Amino acid sequence: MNETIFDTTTSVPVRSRVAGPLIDVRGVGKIYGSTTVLEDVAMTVRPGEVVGLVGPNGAGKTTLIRILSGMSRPSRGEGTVLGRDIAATTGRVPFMGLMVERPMFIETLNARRNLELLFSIRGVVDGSTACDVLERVGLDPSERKAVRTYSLGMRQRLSLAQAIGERPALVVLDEPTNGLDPLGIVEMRGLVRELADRDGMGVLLTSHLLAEVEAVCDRVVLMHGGRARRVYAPGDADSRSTMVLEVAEPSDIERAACITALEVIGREGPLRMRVKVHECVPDVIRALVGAGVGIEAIYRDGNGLERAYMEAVGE
Amino acid sequence: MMRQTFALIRIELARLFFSRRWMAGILIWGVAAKLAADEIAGHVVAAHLGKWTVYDVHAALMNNAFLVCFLMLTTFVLIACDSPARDRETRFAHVMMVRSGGRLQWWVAKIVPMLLASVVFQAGALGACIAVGVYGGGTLSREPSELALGTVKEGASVSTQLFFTPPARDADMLVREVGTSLYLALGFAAIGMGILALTVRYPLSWLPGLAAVGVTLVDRILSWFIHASWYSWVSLPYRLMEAAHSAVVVDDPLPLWSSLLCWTVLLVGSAIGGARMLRDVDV
Repeated sequence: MNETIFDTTTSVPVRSRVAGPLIDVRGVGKIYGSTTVLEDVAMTVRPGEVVGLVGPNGAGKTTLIRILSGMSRPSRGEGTVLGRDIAATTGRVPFMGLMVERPMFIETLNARRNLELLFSIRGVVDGSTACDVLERVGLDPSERKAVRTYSLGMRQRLSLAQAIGERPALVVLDEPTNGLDPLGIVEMRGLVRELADRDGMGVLLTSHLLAEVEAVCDRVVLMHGGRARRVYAPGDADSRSTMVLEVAEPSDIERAACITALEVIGREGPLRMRVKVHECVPDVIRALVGAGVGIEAIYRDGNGLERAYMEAVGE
Repeated sequence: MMRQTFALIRIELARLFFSRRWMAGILIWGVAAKLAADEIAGHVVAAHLGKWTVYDVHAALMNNAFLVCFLMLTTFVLIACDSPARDRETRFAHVMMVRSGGRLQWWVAKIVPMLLASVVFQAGALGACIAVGVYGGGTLSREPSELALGTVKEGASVSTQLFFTPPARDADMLVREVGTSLYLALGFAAIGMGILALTVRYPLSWLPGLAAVGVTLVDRILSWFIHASWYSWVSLPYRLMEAAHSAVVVDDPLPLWSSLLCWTVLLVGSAIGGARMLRDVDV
């Protein structure tokens, strides 16, 4: 088994030397005593891809992350994470970046010293990396204050820094926006996309902020009751063709429903409906105007993940 | 792999020794030393003896079951033995383990600081006894005092001291107390190791403190029901007392080798057992 996935000579992320996806698991299940907390979960994460994991509390997200990061052995299922068999019994864990929900550090030391110590374990990056990565996550490398004085948001940033600083091929982020202010959330979103698009990392993240997950992820695995209920892809043709139409009068709803260029898939009050468009948007608008529909607004449905989530949870 | 383990140990050492929990240790050392010094000073007056030394304070402290087991052992465990459980509760253990490359390295990095902490803890207690002893009127003489030798003065209201084993007349008291400290450090480390291993199976951060108090409480209860000759062999807190091995102080002394063997078996057995359990548990 080859677990070396970091090229120390170039100091940039390299794809896992293991051919194929970074995460590729099937039929993963976990049973504690008589309680099944995870059942038949399949997942793949490829380099340069951001995959979200969403679901209510107790859905099995953390259990899955524990299995993927080598902290827990599955009761059943098979597959690999960075080339490591998830059912391996050697106690070895794969080289990945991991950001946990409640980050802890050496409270009496400053952020830079904390990172230097953490990075010294693997020894794959030099001393200047700590400064670089602190700047990248929006923290001041010259800050002398001890970490114990940090706000939750600052700790989250520092936790992200420790996860990505050594540029692993795979980063797992558990609730990365927890405790961040709105600006911090936007910055985090940009950074996560950058990790995938520019650095080529594979990113697996969990969050309860569905709009953020939808904005940043290529695919989202919707979990409920220990099962992966559905995979939602925000950017796929199906998601992009779902739109919201707002009209001037209630009678416009009936007129719009007669147009073949679109299909009404749900009503939201007397003047608004969700539609699936079958042609390009300008053609649909022309058809609506031609049918005498008073259009107030038509826009892409930004709550697709929320709907998919509600459907998955409600099943 | 060795480099990773050393780096992990360095971090765990920093986490342990930069912790503000040592303030509690300093407080407990001071309180324990003061209580022992008062005990010694009172005995000296009652026995019509002359000067006493700071090492008498330490020797008395190391043989006071309440101070050693309830105060010092519990404080030591709270300082040095809850980090594996705490790290698993907060999942910081995951962050460290994905870096360490394996669970065994993480386990070793938890053990080494705890072992060092047991020595530092006893050194701190010795230092506190010296400081408090000097402040309370004791001397720094390394020769055994009359009190230490068990001298009995005519007309005194108390008999010979039974706080600790009387040393040889030419003994160096500093060397002797350093030896006692190292013995107690071994005992603390062994009990601490047992508690660390327990938290591998039950990763609850409140468990170490409870276990430390529990060891002493269970021991007290056992002492009511078990015959004294049996109790002395099965009691861990009793074995911590240096005087438990002295024919001068107790009727049925334990051989020192049996205690050294007991601590070594507990220490090594718990370290190996913890590593084996850690290999199989969900972290």
